[in-house]
Amino acid sequence: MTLDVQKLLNDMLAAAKTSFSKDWHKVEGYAKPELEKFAQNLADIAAMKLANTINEEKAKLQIDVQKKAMIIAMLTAHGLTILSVESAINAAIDVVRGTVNTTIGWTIL
Amino acid sequence: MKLVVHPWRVSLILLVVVALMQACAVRLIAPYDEITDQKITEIQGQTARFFVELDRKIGTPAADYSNNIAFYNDMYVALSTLDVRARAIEKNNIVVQQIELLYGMTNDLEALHKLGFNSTEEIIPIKNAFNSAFTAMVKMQMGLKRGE
Repeated sequence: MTLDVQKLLNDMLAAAKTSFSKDWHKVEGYAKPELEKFAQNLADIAAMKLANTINEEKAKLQIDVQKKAMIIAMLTAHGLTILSVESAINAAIDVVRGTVNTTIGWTIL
Repeated sequence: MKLVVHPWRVSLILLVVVALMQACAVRLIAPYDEITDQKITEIQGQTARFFVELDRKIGTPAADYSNNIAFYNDMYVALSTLDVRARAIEKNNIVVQQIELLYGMTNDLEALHKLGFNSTEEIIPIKNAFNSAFTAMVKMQMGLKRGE
């Protein structure tokens, strides 16, 4: 039996969406194609097993490579979210910096 | 008394003001590091070359693990150098984790190579995974650069 790439993708997208919660829209554009590639690679490995071109040991190592690559991609998605939060905080501070510093009389912000 | 303003004094004041402004910026993640970025690109180039060569050599003794040990040695040295650099930078946990995972992927690739590659079909998913990993790492660096 072959793996249904679309079903794999839908299940993973649902899980990622729940996990990223409100930040999903910030990372969706990047994470979705990465999950698509991951699902396709899993299907390719399953197809090699069906064709008897790889054994279980090799399949496990192949899956491990895919998992690690996916974690690297998700770490970037997470990092880009942190960067957007950082930039929002700094933009908010920039807006009030002049007023606060002038009012207080010291450059503290 | 006439106040004389030397250009170097103006420069010094400007420098202090800029430094104060930067000190006040909130930093949740490591700053961009050009050397890390360059090293990742270098390792990506090394890996891409390896996959192209391996793809051409499959089915010949040149593709055997024993004839490709130098690639793995070079990769581990490069990744170890990158790891030391990344760990020296504050708030760089994401990049450090990515390097550790890339190291693990190289271990898996080496284990697979020791078992032997029978066809180019076996290499495709691994090559794709490495490409995804490097794309993600470069994208992270680009994000850090924009956030400077």
